[in-house]
Amino acid sequence: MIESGASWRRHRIAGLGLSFEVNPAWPLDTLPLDGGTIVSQRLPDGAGVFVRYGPGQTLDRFLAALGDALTTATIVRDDVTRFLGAPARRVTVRLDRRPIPGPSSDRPTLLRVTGFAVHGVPVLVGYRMREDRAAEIEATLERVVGSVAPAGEEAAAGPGEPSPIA
Amino acid sequence: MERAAQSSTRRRTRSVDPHPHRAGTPSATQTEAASDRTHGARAGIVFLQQTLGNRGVQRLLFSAAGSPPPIQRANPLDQRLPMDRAEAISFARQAKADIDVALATLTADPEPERRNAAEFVAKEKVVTHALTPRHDSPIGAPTIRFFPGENDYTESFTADGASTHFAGSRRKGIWVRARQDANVDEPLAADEIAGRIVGAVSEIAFTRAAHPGAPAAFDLYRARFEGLYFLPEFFGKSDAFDRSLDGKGPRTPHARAVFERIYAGDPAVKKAYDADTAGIREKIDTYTMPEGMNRINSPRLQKLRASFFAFSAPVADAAYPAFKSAIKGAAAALDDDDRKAIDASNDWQRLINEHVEDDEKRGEIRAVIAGQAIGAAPAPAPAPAAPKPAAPLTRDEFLAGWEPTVAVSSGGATEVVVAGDKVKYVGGALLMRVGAVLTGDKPNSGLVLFVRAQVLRDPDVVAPAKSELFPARGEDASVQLAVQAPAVLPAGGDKLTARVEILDADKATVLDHKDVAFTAEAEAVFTKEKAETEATADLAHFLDASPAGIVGKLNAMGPQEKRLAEAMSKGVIDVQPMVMRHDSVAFVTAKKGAPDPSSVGYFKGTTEDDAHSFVDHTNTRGVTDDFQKILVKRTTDVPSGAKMSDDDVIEVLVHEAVHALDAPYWQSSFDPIDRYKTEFRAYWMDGSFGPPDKAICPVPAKGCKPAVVDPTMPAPGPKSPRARAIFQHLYEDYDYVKPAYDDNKDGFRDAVDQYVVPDGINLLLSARLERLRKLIEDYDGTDFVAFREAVLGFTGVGPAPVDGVLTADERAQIVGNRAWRDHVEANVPNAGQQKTIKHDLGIAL
Repeated sequence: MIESGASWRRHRIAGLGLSFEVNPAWPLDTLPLDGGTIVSQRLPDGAGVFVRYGPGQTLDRFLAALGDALTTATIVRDDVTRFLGAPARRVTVRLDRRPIPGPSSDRPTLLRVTGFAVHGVPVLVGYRMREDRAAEIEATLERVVGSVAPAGEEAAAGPGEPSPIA
Repeated sequence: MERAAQSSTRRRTRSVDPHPHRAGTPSATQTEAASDRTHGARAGIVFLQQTLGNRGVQRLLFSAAGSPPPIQRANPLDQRLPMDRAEAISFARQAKADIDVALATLTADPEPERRNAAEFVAKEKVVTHALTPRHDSPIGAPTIRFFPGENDYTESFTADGASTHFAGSRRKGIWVRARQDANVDEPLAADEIAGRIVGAVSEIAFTRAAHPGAPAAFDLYRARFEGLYFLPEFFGKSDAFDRSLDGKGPRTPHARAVFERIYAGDPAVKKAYDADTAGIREKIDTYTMPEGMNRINSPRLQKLRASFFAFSAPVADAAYPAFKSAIKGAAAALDDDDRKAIDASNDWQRLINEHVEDDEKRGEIRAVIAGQAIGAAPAPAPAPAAPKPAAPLTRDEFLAGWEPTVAVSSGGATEVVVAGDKVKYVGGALLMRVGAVLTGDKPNSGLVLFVRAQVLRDPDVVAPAKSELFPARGEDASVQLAVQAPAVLPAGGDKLTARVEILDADKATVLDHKDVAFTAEAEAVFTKEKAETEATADLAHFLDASPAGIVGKLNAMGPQEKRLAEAMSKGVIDVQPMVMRHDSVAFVTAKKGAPDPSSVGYFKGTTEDDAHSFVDHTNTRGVTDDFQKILVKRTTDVPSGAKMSDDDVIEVLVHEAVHALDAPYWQSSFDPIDRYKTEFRAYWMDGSFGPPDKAICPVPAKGCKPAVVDPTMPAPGPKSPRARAIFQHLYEDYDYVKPAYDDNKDGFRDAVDQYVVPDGINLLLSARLERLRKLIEDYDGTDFVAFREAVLGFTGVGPAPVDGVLTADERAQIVGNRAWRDHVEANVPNAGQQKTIKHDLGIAL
């Protein structure tokens, strides 16, 4: 497992009131977005886990932007769910890049993202991974997603548990 | 008896008769001696021979005559054959005695494959017998009826008159012809018999090591190839790629001659090749040199190989300790020659990788076989070792003689970074290669060590650690890392450290580490309008036919470039610019859901909008995004308007144009091997590793690698310097190659190791070849007369097509490349029509 031996620590997202576990062996990047902010960690093979938040970070807008002139984005699963006790939508998207000659493998990528709101602010929590690495890496990425919790209440909160955020 | 196809061999490491004997006119002396004998006298002599033995008869007849002439016991009408059945049996018994003597001499031979052969026979219980012509074989025929063994004619069979030995199909026995081919009266010298024994044993050793159970058809071909390859009549032929050879068979004269011998003499091979059974045609066509897991006939290697048989691949974690123990036990007996043979063998490395699936275990098993200690404490402060040029690199020498390597992509080039350097972010990111290089004059000697690299913004990690096995015979190793620029750069720049560590075979023990500190600075911002302005200028420059433009410059160059210019001008290839978007970081984040500093946002054409934009690597210089469509990144820095040089643009175009006209690739399933082969073809034809139309390099070589097969090259990779150089580049820089090769996914490694020359449908970038390819592809079988007339037009018969008739070089491409043969066979299914079109185009039937 990728996280074997990792000394996880909790990272608080100031201004959002959420925190999540991060692995110090991976870069932690915080970047501004058009209508929000993204906090992400990148794994060695290009996989990444992220929290996007801000007024422009709705799930529909996120999905509409995926893919490019060489890449097709296809929704392969779309579920209504709850996250931290709040109504949420969880979507899995597959990105298929045209297999043009070049150094990149162009293996299909899966994006799994959950959209919900915290005090009316749209939040997206999810991850990106190569489809052929899913069996190896998915549990680690789910662990990070599952670690998202209201700041200060980390010990009590977890996926599917009641939360005061909603 | 068990029977196998005929094969013959003599090892190149020994002096052998360079003129193998053939059936010919009997000598005058022998003919006279034969004519003096009456039938009754002969019958009496035969009786004596059978009771007293030949030497006893010789002594009786010539005891008072000084040096006697030999008894004529061959058929005077065909001296390859014994006079009668009794003579034949007698010959066989004498041959068996001579074989035993020769086998005994091999035990003290200095050459390992010969010395090992005797030991292999003893330890692997290989039975040895004589192979002798029957007396009643048709006189003068090119083939001979042979009988195996020494007792009777049971299990006789017909084979080539020059047959030297047989290896049993069950791989339990060998039958050696120990008398001269041309005259059965003449014994072979012990050394020559020994050579034939070695050849026969090598076939047994090859197939026993290849698989448990019955050998596959291609294994038998390879075993016979091994035997024939070193025969004097083949060994003198060139191993260089020969463009003049047609597409039927390997395209080096040496391998082609061996193929033709096997094809002509083995009906099973001919049938399988002609029908392309199980895809054997491509395997045979690309098999240009011997390879195998026991090329030195070592019983110890066979024992090690057999220790793998007990474990199904991949070995489960629970079974790994037992597997490792079994390998360790069998490897303990290996000698230096055995270990060198393993090191040189692609098949061995593939076998190990099949059994263990991660780099740590692979390294561990390799180290166990090599007898290398694992996880030992590093030597305290190793001092520079005394120069010993001939000795293999030791671990201490490795640790005392390496330096870190750091390079970053500037968008248009790769810049080497040393401590204290300043670099600029490109597209909000740094794309880097970080690794280690040996600084002595010696490459790695097979030491199993890993290089691990990461980038720190002290104390935080900003590019996560990646590791790479140091190549067994390589001098450097590196990994690709990417750093995301922070939202706000600190004053004075972003202080970064590239850290490189050397790890032991367990991939955990850090033996040494070194840091390179440098500063990354912000890049200039630019607008969408600026990017579009640069793109418009680039497109105009590409299509400019004046002496200053790209088309104009191509037209002033060699034939390959002229053909490219013609294809661009006639719209057979569409070339467009690709330029970085002004909002690259945001674009990548939007398209991929999260940041990816290894990527940049580009647009193609002259309009920066989402419909024409895509994500690709920072260091991309050009892309073929569809059949006949090329994008070239001429603008390397939008704010400054910096451009790639025209020479570089042309280099990119020549490379990408091979992809653009590589129809078989675009019609493939895009498997890793399809992708590898199109890259191989492109790198070969762009001249990066040598003139594409020349196998031998000019002097000075200037980076050229000869296109000559060399079986002595170490593994891994294809064994030709030019093919190896292309392979290494792809293995290191193309992310799908290493996993597919290391895991031999869908036979990827098998194919790559044999792919030493390019085979393609339009390596010449010819508009005419593309038109002809399309014409054949579109044939629907309804009007063959009109179709053939159109095809013939390309050859200069009848009305010429719009772009003219094929040139001599273009016709040679059709004749020499298997892709054209496949193309005609796929699109002209009617056998008669297919044969006609092949004949019209000069394609081998």
